[in-house]
Amino acid sequence: MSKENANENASDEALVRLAQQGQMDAFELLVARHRDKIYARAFSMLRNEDEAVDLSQEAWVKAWQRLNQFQGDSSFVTWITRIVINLCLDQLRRQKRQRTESIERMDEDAGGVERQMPVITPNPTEQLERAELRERIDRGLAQLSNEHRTVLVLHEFEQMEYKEIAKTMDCSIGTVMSRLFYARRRMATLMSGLRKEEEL
Amino acid sequence: MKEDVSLKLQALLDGELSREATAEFQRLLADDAEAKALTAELSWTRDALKGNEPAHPLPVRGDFYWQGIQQAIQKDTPVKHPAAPARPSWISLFYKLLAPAGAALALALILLPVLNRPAPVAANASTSVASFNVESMMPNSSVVTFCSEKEGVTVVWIDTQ
Repeated sequence: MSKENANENASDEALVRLAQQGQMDAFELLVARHRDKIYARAFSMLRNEDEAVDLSQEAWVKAWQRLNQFQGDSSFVTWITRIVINLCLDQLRRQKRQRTESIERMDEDAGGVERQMPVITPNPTEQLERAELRERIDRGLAQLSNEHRTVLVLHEFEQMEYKEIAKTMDCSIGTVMSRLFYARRRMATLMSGLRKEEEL
Repeated sequence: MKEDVSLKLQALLDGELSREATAEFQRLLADDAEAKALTAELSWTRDALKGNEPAHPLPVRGDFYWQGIQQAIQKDTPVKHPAAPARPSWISLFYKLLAPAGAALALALILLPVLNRPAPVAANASTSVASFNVESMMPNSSVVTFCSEKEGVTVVWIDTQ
């Protein structure tokens, strides 16, 4: 059995140890295992394929450079995911500085658009196919502002707590709660299909 | 519904309230229809999102993706040469002293035959005194060489006039 084939069955932890010793082929296997998840996380935050490819690759480069700092306190995939999240947040901050204040931000600051939304009554008989539901979620996420989408992604998909999100996004817990509330209410509307986007 | 109540309701759903705050808040909301409706909506959204993250496969081939990473790593990371094994300090000292001494010895071995070479007798003039030689290499003596074995000195004097 070749060394490469032997490594294919190795755990992430074992591959990380080999990569820490300078074995690039072990690192390549880690990339192959987790590249889809890392790219998907970048895309979910940036909503741009090219940027997501570039930033996810940059995350892997940074991971290689900082590999000796990885102590195994979390899983490797959690560690590399945090790297790509931080890179995406930096990118979003750069973009925000470059553009004028967004309409979504103005709405949020103007006094809680989310409180004016009528409550959506879930219809338990509506059994959406998983693919259909995912498609609606995707469309809904695309319509959220970067700030709202990011909070939602970190909370619902990364299972991060309010405090951790606040630290990651460099904002208060109150801001996290407010953004999450708005994002959820908006997603409820967008996913339910009960109201058209123009009516909001 | 007030904003702080809505946000507390959400925090309750997310398990972010303390046990005491949870119990107190649940009592307050027990008879609030609006709060119940909002709770149902937030729960539905949360449950719908849970485990249903849209799939976005990598839009480029895996090998191209890796090549980009590999090139960036090789470009940014200086090649690490294995560190030279550390020598004991006395060996370092030996090398430190031996190197100049060896160089001096080699120089002496190269120069010795030159310095000890018997002086050729010049065509027209040569003076040899016990400890030194003076010779003229050319007719009409425009170049004069002085060599003293005793002093270990060789001087070449060129008269351009």
